[in-house]
Formats: sequence, structure tokens, C-alpha cells
Amino acid sequence: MVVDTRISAWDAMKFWRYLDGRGRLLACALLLLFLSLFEPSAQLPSRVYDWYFVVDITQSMNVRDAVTSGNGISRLAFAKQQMRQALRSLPCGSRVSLGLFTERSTANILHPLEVCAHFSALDETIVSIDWRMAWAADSYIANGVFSAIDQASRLGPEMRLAYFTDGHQAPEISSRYAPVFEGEQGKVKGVVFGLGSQSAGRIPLLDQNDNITGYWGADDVQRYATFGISEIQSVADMEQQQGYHGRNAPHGSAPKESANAHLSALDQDNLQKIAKDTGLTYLGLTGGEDIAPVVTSNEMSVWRTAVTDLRPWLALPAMWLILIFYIPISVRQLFQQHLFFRKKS
Amino acid sequence: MMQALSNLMVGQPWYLLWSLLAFFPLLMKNYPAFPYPSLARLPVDALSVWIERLWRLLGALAIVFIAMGLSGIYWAENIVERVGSGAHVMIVLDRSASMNDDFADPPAGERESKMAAARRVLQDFVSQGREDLLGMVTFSTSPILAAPLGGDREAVLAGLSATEAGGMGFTAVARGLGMALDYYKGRPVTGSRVVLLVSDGGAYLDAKTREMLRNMFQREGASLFWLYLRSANGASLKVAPAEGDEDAYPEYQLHRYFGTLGTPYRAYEADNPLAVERALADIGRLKNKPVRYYQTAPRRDLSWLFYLLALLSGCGVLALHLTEVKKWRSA
Repeated sequence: MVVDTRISAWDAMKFWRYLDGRGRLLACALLLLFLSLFEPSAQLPSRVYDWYFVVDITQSMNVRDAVTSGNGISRLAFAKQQMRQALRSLPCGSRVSLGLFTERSTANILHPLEVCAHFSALDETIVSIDWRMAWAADSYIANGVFSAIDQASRLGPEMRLAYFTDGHQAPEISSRYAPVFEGEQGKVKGVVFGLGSQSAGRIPLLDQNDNITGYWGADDVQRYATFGISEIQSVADMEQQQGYHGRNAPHGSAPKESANAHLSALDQDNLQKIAKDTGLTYLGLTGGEDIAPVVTSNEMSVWRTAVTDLRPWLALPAMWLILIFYIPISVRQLFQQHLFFRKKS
Repeated sequence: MMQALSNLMVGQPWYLLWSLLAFFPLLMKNYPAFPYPSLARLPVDALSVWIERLWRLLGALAIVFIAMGLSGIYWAENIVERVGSGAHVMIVLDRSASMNDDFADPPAGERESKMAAARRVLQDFVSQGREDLLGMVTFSTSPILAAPLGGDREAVLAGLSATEAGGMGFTAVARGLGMALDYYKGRPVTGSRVVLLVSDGGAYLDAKTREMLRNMFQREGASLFWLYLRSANGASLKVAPAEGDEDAYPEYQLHRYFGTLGTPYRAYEADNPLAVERALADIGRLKNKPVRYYQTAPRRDLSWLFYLLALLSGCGVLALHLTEVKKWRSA
């Protein structure tokens, strides 16, 4: 065997000597390509992403005003589509966790899973997300984001939050009792994705097969934010207000009423405020943008050692060698001449 | 065919731009010119012309293939047929608020919520190296799919750990079971189907729901195993309540109803680790045909193929390069 290798090495040497310069370039390129067939890989630090995808499954997400390629689909369907695309765009070694939001908290349904090995489980779970999974029916969006941030920091140190919502708050909330973010601002990085159209749409009532059987009407929803004690302090004002009763009707019998509480639009202002308070980024997806560049942006990445494919490091030089091989003789001669003159002078 | 092609995915599409460089070998005039004016009078050699074209083409192909290799083309949903000999187990885990209450029989005298007990029990179950297919549905007021039925145990475990956040809402057993049974619908029966309900079972079912569930269980031919987590002041399933008192014990009623499903039903009280072992052993004893199932394997890398093709084209270029006349000699 030893003799054999020596002979083949000898042959290779002979072959090498026999080749002209261009042939040698090509032979080098072939050697590199040959080596890449062994799939060399190494544990190198590389950019990966840890995402906690949270999707709003309240009924306002059923409004079919999210536009993809000209078709209106429901905001929830659009969110799911975006999540699946994001899942496909993440490099191996990244991890994804899933959560659902309804009422006033986010429920984590899946702890972080590596995206390549568990791709099908993640993908199928995203597909199965449905508005019927909601366990309660209010939509206190700020509480949802705050609890998601809290969970994200517990799921992993570098967990990024991607929150898909239309920002619709229901029922109306009194600004005095609006929740305040108490965590550390900007500790959890992430993006709030705003879905839906900015002009208000009616919220559909769906039957078992997701056919629209009607719409929420103004009389079906709570239009007042009359929670809590009276804001009126002076006796004169109390007498002024119609039907005021300190305990039973602290806001009078005809409180300020919202005319379109039964409609839902993308509430950019609300989401922008929440994003600002919590240190997240707000991004509206009203034009059917693709989120893949956002979830794989450098800003959101984590450096972690992961198995890194070394083949591009071999194949790219091989390609350059082949290109040099094809450089016209005349150009090369010009080049050589130039060098030659330089040397002379 | 289109279906198959749609599974071809490109990792970094912009790398494909490198393939534009393939025009370089195609367009360049890149063979030595010999300073013999008389050569121009030689007749055109058709073979040489074709060899040259082939030589350029192979070079271009090598570059295109390298670009394709670099772009990381992969087979996205690579479905692999596997044969196992296990059951199809759909875990239906109660995540209602009542699961936060104390468990009646915690190990070694410590306090433990029913949820924690369920998680402990199921983690044991999932970590067993049996060949069963597992899936998991958690339910409270409504069912949520945590992990689809398949061989991915880590996904089930990830779903289990997610329940650490605690329970919420009511106990809608029927909807949870319904979602689990939906998972069997329309799939070939290649293994025994087991719905493993893990719940404290405080729920009433009305007559209509009972009838519907019974139909579903019979249609899908699934057996029901109930790992019953007894509340700290709850009743045992083994002891029938006194005459006239049945309404006070929803879990007992549920137990009685499950007995009438017409498909195999067993209840286990998770009061000690042995109950879980028994349940496992019973699942193992079920008559299983070899389970043939399809699993989505992680994406399969196809770059190697393109690097190989690039290598072959490169070898062709080298071989043709050797035929090139380097020096004009008089023959």
C-alpha cells in the first residue's frame, strides 16, 4: 500500500510538472472542489436567532384586510403565513418558541426548539393555530405584550420577541387604568408587527367552518370605559353630570361613548406607544412586506457556536481559480508585460 | 411533480448571482494565438471548434454549479417513510386553572400542583425510548395543539415545559379529546390509537357531546387511557359515590361515561409512580402492526450534488485543456 501511494504521489507530481500554469490553476480548483465533497464542517461561532413568536388570536384578527398579492386574507392567516416564512428563513441552530395572546396574557405553548431538527413540528403547530384556541375573549393588548416580554426573558437570555397583532384594544380601556410597563426597557429586544389595514373593518362572526355568518354590531360590544371610581372631584360637577351616583354610576348615566368600538383597524398609535414604552421596535406590515429580512437582521442575531459548513470557503476560491483560468491570454500577457516593465525599470 | 419541485428551497438566493460569472468563459477569447500568419490559411477543423465550445460550456457549467452549491439548495419538506412498531399516542393534557391546585398524592410528602405532577409523569413517559408516535394537545377552555403526532419527542417535551406557566380557564375535556381524535381522521390505521388523557376531570359533558365523542372514538377506533390526577380533597375513581350523590363527583361520572364508549378504556390513578408504569406497560401490550409512518425529516442539503457536478465539469475542462495545442510545432 505504501508503495502504491508513493507511486500515485509520484504520478501526481509528474502530472503537475506536465501541466502549464493555467492547468495548475484548474487542478487546484478541482482539488478544492474534491475536498468540499467530504462536507467539512467545524464548530464555529455563527449568527443564529432566538425568536419567541407570539400571535394575537383575538377575534379582531379575523378581519380579512391583510393583503398578500392582491388578496385580502384574515390578519391571523397573514400572521401565520409570515411566521412560517420566517421559520424557513432562519439558519440552523436558531431556536423558536411559540406563544398565543388573548384576553390579558400571553400563553407560551412551546418552549424554544431548534428550527432545523424540529422544523416540521414547529411548522405544523403554527399551521394549527386558530382563533378558536382563545380561552377568553377580551383583548388587553398592552398586558399581552408585557407578559410576553416577561416570558421571553425567562425562555432564554437572548430571546427576541416577535409579536403579531393588530393592536386592537377591546373593551375600551380607561387611560387612568391603562397598564404600565414595569420591566427594564429594552432588555428584551424584538419587534411588534402591526397587521391589518388602517381603515376600520367589521369584525366577522364565524361559524364552525369559518364561514362569515354576520358581524359584530355596535350593540354587541362594550362602548364605555367606565371602570373604576369617579374622576369628578367637585360637588358642583357632580350635580352637573346627568344621572351621577357616587357608587353606582360614577361616570353618570350617559358616559362618553365610543362610536366604533365594534370596528377594528390597525391601531398604529397604540402599538407604537407600547413599543416605545418597552423598548421594542414597531413595524407595520400593511403593504404585505416580507418579514424574513427583519427576523434575520444582524441587530437581532446571537453569536453562538453552531456547526458551520466550511464548503463555501473551498468552493468560492475554486470558482475564482476557474475564472482566472478563463482570463484571455492577451489580457494576461498585457498584465505580465506590465509587471515585466516594472521589474525592468 | 410540481408538488415535489415546490419543496426545493434555496438557502441564500442572492448567491445565485455568482452564476452570472458563467458568461465570462462563454464570451472570452481565451486561447493562445500563435504568431504564424500562415495558420490563418489552415482549414477550419470542425472537431476543434466543437471541442472549444464544449470546453467553454463546461467551464460555464462549473461556475453555475458552484454558485448553486453556494446558494445552499435544499429539499425542504423531506418526507421519510419510517417503520416502527409502536402505538399512535395522542396526549391530551389538561391545562385548566384547576390543575394549579394541590395534587393528592405528591411524592415524599412535598406539596405539588397537579400540573407539576402531570408534567413529571409525562416527562417520564415521553423520555422512554419506545417506538410510539407521540403528539400532544393541551386544553383548557379550548384545545391547543402543542406537538403534532410524530416521532419528534423533543417537541412534546418543549410543549410540556411550556405548561410551567400555569393553567388558565375551564376544563373542556370534550374539545380536547375532539382535537386529538381529529388527528387520526383520514389517516391509515397502521398502529393502535391511544388517546392518553391526563386530567383531574372536573367536567360535565352534556348528552349531545357524549354522543358525538362516542361516535368519534368508535369511528377512529381509538382507545382511551385516563391518567387521573386526584385533587387533594377529590374522590377516587374506584369508590362509587353513595346513591343520589353522583352529581357531586363529576370525575366519577366521566369515568362511568368513558366506560360506555365501546372502545377499550382504562383509568389509572396517578397516585404513585407504579400507575404510570402500568399505563405504559398496557400501551406496550397493545397489538401493534408495524407502524409505517411518514416523518418530515430536517431539510436535506443538496449542495453536495452541485459541488459534485461542478467537480465533474471541472474535470472535463481539465481534460479538454490537455488537448489544447500549447506550442506550434512543425509535425
